[in-house]
Amino acid sequence: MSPVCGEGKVTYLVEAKRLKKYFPVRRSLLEGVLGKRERFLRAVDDVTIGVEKGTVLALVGESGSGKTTFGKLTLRVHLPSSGSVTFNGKEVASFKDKDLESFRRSAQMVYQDPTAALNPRITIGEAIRQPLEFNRLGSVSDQKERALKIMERVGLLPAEEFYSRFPHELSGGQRQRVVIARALVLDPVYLVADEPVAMLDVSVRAQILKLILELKQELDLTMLIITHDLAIAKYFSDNVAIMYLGQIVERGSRQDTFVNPMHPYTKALISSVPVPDPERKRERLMVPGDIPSAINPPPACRFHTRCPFVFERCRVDEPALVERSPGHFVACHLYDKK
Amino acid sequence: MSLEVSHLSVSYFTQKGELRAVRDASFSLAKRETLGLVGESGCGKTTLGFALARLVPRPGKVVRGSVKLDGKEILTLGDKELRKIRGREIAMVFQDPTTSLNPVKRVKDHFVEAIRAHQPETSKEEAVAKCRQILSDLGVPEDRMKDYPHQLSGGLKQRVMIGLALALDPKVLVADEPTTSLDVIIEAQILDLIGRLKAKTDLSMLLVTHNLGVVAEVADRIAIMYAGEIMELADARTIFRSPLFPYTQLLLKLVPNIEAESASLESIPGSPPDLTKPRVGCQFVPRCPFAFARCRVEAPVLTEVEPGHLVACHLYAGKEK
Repeated sequence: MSPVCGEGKVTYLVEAKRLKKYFPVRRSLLEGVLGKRERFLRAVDDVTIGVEKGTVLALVGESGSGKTTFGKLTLRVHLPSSGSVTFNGKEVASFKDKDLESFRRSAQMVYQDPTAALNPRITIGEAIRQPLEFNRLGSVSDQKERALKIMERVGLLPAEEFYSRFPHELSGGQRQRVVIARALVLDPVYLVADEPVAMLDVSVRAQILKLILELKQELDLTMLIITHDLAIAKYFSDNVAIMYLGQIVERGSRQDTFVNPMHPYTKALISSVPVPDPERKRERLMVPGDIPSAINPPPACRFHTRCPFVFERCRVDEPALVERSPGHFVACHLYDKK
Repeated sequence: MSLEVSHLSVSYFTQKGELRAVRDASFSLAKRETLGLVGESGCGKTTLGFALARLVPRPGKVVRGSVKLDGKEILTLGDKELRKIRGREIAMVFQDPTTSLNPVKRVKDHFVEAIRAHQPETSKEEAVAKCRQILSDLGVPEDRMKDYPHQLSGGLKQRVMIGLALALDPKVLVADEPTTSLDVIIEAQILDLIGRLKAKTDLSMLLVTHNLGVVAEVADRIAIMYAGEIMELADARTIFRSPLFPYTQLLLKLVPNIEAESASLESIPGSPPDLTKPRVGCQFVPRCPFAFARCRVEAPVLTEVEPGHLVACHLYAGKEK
């Protein structure tokens, strides 16, 4: 496994070590009667990565790769099946009472679908104020003032007017601003943004990403951006981790990942993105088929069933995440071939 | 000429009043041609696509215009004749394959039903054989014919949808965001498939999408829609190399390009207009960096300013060909 801890001078705010999350699959009555073994969906399967303090890590993968589950594990929305998540060096699963409350304030999430994330019957001002009330921070008028301030900062202007509006009166971009404001009202230090602009139109995407990055700078946030969009990873992150079927297949700085991608899956992902230029005909690395089920993932290298460069060893031997150049880790046997 | 749309207007009659989703749209689609219809959510692109097969849902209605397929007017056809045209001459692929397939029917039964509804003389065996042929062309393994929709992945479902649309050898295929719900690798597979279909058949295609990357891959010509109107229409190369309409120019700057050095953090300030309000002047005025007095009072008309390049913008007034 990769030597993550004590790597250079890097300090991780959030660190996952050999993290696993298996969800039990419901057995049918018949399977139960026949005493069939319980099966598990291996959403996150032995992941070791960290988010460096003050940086943005982009976690990239297709649907079903386990990236959202990973994000939720770092927020203690799920508890791990095995392995650990540490926050500032402390085990997240061990937090109790006061420590847990303070962790919940420090670690926040921005969801993909702002419409689903907001209660349609609560005004957006109240939605942003509520986290303060639940945490008993200040008087109601203090809370209101703080909500208004953060609303101004995220561009919900005039804030007084927006305070009493309902979610349905807002555009998609404005709703996402509300979700961001609500996540930031408690002054968190760690923010997980799960596909923060996937539901938005191109013309507002850039605005929202820009806002998130400005806020990250101003508030000195550490961020995990979960995305399937490689362009977002390329332009809005410091480091990138590529996830496939619950495992990290490649990770490194964004230069490493986009200038010198090494894992065939990373290469396929990058070459699959349609380029807005009708005259640019690229050599595309086509990968056949779909992502296999995480209930019965292929043995050895999980990508071997779709990999265009597969050879004998890939079917029998699981590749470890090996450092191929400083800070650039790849899990692929191709680079052991002489 | 395969499909000719002229002055087509579609409105939704809502409680808030008449919402003019499509206004005065005119374009043609030649045999073997792929036209990309591009715009943001709410610009009317899906409504326009639906109108071609007369599938605009209530309370929507075509209020004006004509859609001619090989010279035959579609908008005035009776129900019986319309049923003959749908599927056989104009077929659709919808955005979400999950909601478009019947969950209690096997893949092959979808084909049998569709084929025999139009060609009752076809035997069940013949229909199944046709299904097998089409699906193998589309790269769906044969044993998947017996599967139910929930057993298929998103990519396979979309292949089945495309196969169903092609089952009756239509002349025109309207594909509404066919890859939007798919992951990039699967999207690349489907775009590759569409590219091969284009090369192999006489199919004309209207590809409705918000993704300029997707149209760059497969479209011959591109129409840019804004607030219910087609504002610019030209061949794909021209749209990307020398766009004229300010919205097109801004939109192209915003599109993330994985091959570029850095991302543009620009955005188009403001938002599209409320389509229930009456139109005065150009719809893009509040967001247009070049708007001048005339734009506020007079609506521009889609005009050919260079051979094959049409734009609805006063900036190019007097340049009509």
